[in-house]
Amino acid sequence: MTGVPAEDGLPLPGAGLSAEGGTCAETLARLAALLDHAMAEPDADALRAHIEGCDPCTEAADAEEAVRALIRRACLESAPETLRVRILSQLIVRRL
Amino acid sequence: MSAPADGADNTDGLAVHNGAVTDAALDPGAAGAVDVRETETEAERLLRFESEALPLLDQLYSAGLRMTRNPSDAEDLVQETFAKAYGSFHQYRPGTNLKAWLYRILTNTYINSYRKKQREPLQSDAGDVEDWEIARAASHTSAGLRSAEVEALDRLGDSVVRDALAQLSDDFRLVVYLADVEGFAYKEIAEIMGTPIGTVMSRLHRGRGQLRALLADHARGLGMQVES
Repeated sequence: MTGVPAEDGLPLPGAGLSAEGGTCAETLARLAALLDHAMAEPDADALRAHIEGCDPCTEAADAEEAVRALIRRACLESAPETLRVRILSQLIVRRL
Repeated sequence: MSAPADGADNTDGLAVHNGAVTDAALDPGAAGAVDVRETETEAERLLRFESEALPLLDQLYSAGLRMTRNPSDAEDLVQETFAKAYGSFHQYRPGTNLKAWLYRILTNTYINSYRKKQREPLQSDAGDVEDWEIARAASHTSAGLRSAEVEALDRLGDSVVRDALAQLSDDFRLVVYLADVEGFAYKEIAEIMGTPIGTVMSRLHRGRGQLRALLADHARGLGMQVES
């Protein structure tokens, strides 16, 4: 259920075995599809069950979700007000 | 159009996809109620465009910034996108996925008008960030970042993430953006980019891997304690 211990004492995902969702390596290979909501239900359930019962995989899943949140936050910006005005006036000109 | 072989993405494949934006493309399933397009006046259409499309300006500008990597080009790109979108708005079927429809116009406009003229030292080859970086990331964890690394990046601020994303090749950057920032489904991304879904998935996999490898490097550069 848990991965092999790393030097720092924390188990690393990758080598553990689980009766429910396959190995940690298999779980992590499919983590992106799970978080993308691109996995069908029975498979997704099995994967979630593995992750819930496996500390290193839980950490990996949490970290991946946090990275995605980080990327989203970094990328969403406000358009300059001047651009909004340019677009609006362009639309109005088209209508005339 | 046949799918390019996995990994051997042909960037020209995108330029092929510059045809008309039709309302059937993104949601052929909508049907039923009276279509407002048949009865509205030009003035009403403009109002409808302003109230439905304009609220997406910030999102489209953010995407334009990531595409062009330059605020001035991003503004021009987004302005052109809105002009084209309004010009084709009668083809957009009300009630279908307007955001995906607009992203498709944005992407086509970028590919056809902006990408060619940009000097992009990093984009000649889709595998530019070097697979050794991914291999290295994969060797210490399984290609993901660890919690402590994510926390370090969080403290570093947004520019680190933006800079890392800017280092990816065009195709990888776009796919990662559409999936990770906008949360589009693979199928929607395939429609927006005009590429087969298998190409989307392979670019997404490699693009995410490269981005995370770059981010992990940054986190480690901060003096993070990560096993080697």
